[in-house]
Amino acid sequence: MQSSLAVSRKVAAIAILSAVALSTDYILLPVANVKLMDSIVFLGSLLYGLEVGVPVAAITWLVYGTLNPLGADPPGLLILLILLECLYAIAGALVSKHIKSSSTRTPNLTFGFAGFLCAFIYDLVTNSYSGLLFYPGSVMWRIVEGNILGIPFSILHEVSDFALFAFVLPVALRTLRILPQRMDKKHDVKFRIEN
Amino acid sequence: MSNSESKTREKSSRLKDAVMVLVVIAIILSATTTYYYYEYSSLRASLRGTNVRVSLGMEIGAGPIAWSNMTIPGGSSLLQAMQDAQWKVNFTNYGPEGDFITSINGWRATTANDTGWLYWQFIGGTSDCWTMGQVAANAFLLLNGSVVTWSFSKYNATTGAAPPPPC
Repeated sequence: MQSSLAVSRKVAAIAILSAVALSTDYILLPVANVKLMDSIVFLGSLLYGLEVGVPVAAITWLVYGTLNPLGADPPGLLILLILLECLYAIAGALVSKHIKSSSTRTPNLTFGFAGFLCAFIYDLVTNSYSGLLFYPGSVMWRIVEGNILGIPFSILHEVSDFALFAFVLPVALRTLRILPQRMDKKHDVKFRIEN
Repeated sequence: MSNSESKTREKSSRLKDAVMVLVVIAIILSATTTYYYYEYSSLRASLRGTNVRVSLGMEIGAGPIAWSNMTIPGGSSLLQAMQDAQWKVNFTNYGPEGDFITSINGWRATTANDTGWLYWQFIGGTSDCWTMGQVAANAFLLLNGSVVTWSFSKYNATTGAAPPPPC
């Protein structure tokens, strides 16, 4: 059973990561398909497990998909987007296990590849969905055409995710891992003095 | 862990990294190629059954450009337009790279004189208004209003550079 401190830490992590993901989403609104949200969801799962990564993905999309200056997503699409964003959370949990079991020194490329693969699957599904919704012809052709016409946007998404996961995420991860230790140490010293 | 064991692990880790990077590059390149091919085919298909007006020029040395203004079927290549204009064109086929023009109206490109045929596409403006052709004449698709001129000139044997037509 988890201690109440561990639960509070996870709840706080969900709140903070969702807030950061949301604010970066709004800041990056003019830059199509470049989102820090993906790496933040991945980071949440990597550090605290799926029980943080999945809620961050769901909360962020629920707010961003509803209160969006470009228009709210219909409920069906919103559910699909939440499910697809959870891919990043699952990848974060899997990569976390992989790092613990292997002796990888700098997992930059593993992170980058995980981000790229998640973005690739995400784009494949969303482009197929757009094709089915907006293009004429047979079901197969609509899926193919949706995916072909979405290629420039997909490349932007996949390459930016690769770069953010490989180069920005390790820096954020190092900082987030060191910070609690430092805070604990400070708190410990203060606690001893007071006693 | 022994030294050889750690070396083997490092090697396999590097190999894994290389495979991941190659997969990313392969996916991006195949996607870009598919997109380019799709757009090119759609453009060709959209031009079929229409007529386009183009201007074809020919410049020998630094002489004046002789223009042919003509209407050709949409989706025609530059080579087809040259043949439609009744130019006597000889070329060598280089497979997927396309047809390389060797002579037009008897003016033959020779390495002995460092002379050759180059085509330039008009892109507008008053300076740097021509851009050198980047693909073979049979792969260059003419659009409505395209202005292209062929230039028979002496090129720099070292750099391969040739002067563009005057703006």
